[in-house]
Amino acid sequence: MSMSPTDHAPSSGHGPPPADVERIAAELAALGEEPADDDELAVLTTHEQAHPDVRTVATLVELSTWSAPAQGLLPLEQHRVWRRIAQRSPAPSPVSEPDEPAANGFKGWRGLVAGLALVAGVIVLPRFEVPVAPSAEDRQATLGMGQAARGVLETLPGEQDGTRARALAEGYAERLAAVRTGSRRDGRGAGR
Amino acid sequence: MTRMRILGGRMGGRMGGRMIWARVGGLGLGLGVGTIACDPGDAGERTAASAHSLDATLRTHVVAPSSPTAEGLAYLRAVASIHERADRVQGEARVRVLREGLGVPVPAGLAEAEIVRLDLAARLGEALLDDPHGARAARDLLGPLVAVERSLPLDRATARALVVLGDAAAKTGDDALAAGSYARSIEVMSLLRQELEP
Repeated sequence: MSMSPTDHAPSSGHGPPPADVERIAAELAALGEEPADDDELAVLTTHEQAHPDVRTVATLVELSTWSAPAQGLLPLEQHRVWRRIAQRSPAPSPVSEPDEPAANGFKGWRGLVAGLALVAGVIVLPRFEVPVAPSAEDRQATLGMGQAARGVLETLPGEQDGTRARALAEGYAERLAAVRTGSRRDGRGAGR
Repeated sequence: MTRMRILGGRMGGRMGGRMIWARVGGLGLGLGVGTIACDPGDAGERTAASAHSLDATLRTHVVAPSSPTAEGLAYLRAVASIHERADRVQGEARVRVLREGLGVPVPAGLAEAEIVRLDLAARLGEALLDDPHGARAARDLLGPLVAVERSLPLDRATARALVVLGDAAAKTGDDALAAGSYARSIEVMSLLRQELEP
């Protein structure tokens, strides 16, 4: 049902407006019903005025479809009108601003703290990693590796411990003796 | 031939040369597989902590003979004497003797001391491992001496010290250090093979 602002002007109390009477008559005729008589129209008028709910709904429909007669205003004037209306409105805007976090969302500092916690977790956790016991297979592989290395070492050419130290000392002594002999020979040669 | 002089002593052993190096090569192949198996991406949660710290970095250098001096000769003879004393005792007494040997001051310029001391430390580590509670001490002793940050002498003593460190690490539950040490010892033996081969 479309209504214009003029259609919903306050009723006079003596019956519905003529436009409504004509519309009701047309709708009844379309439905094949008999035209409404004066009593029915009076009841309709009384009923509309007597029930606040009906009036409330009618008012809401009227406001929702009402268009301000601003077509004649300049764009600047329209802007001023709407800004004035917005300033009068006491209720906050039901739609959040795009850059404003929702009431149940993360605030800026919460995001920062969460980011720092994530970074700290990435950096700190590996330093406190708890040694994980190697599996039995890994352990066995390591022990087998050591056993094989010892086996090769035992067969590696060369000596160790006292034998090695003595051999080194003997070779070192020979070289030292050779150096001393060479020095004395050079000394005698120089003296001649 | 420089290496031959430093190595000294007899060459050869119970196994033929080719057989020895075949074992080293096979061990190296096994090491490669083992290292791949320890990759964090493959091992998952089981060995995550161990795999992160596994390091088989190895840097080596050849010890050239130094100019002989009387002080150098005295040091080498002192170390030989230490070993003889250690041969006559066992257990804690041997540990004390070997520790005493590591405390002998090294004369300046004696390059051979690096090898002698490493051999002494390896033997001390072995003596410590004989004690059920000595693994930690052996690891603390050898860990700094053959750390991955250090260049190690390309010598049998290095391979021995790394094996002992691996044993100590395995006994203390550090499988990553154990595997890394074993890997480095095998690498040293492989390098020795390349140098000793004609």
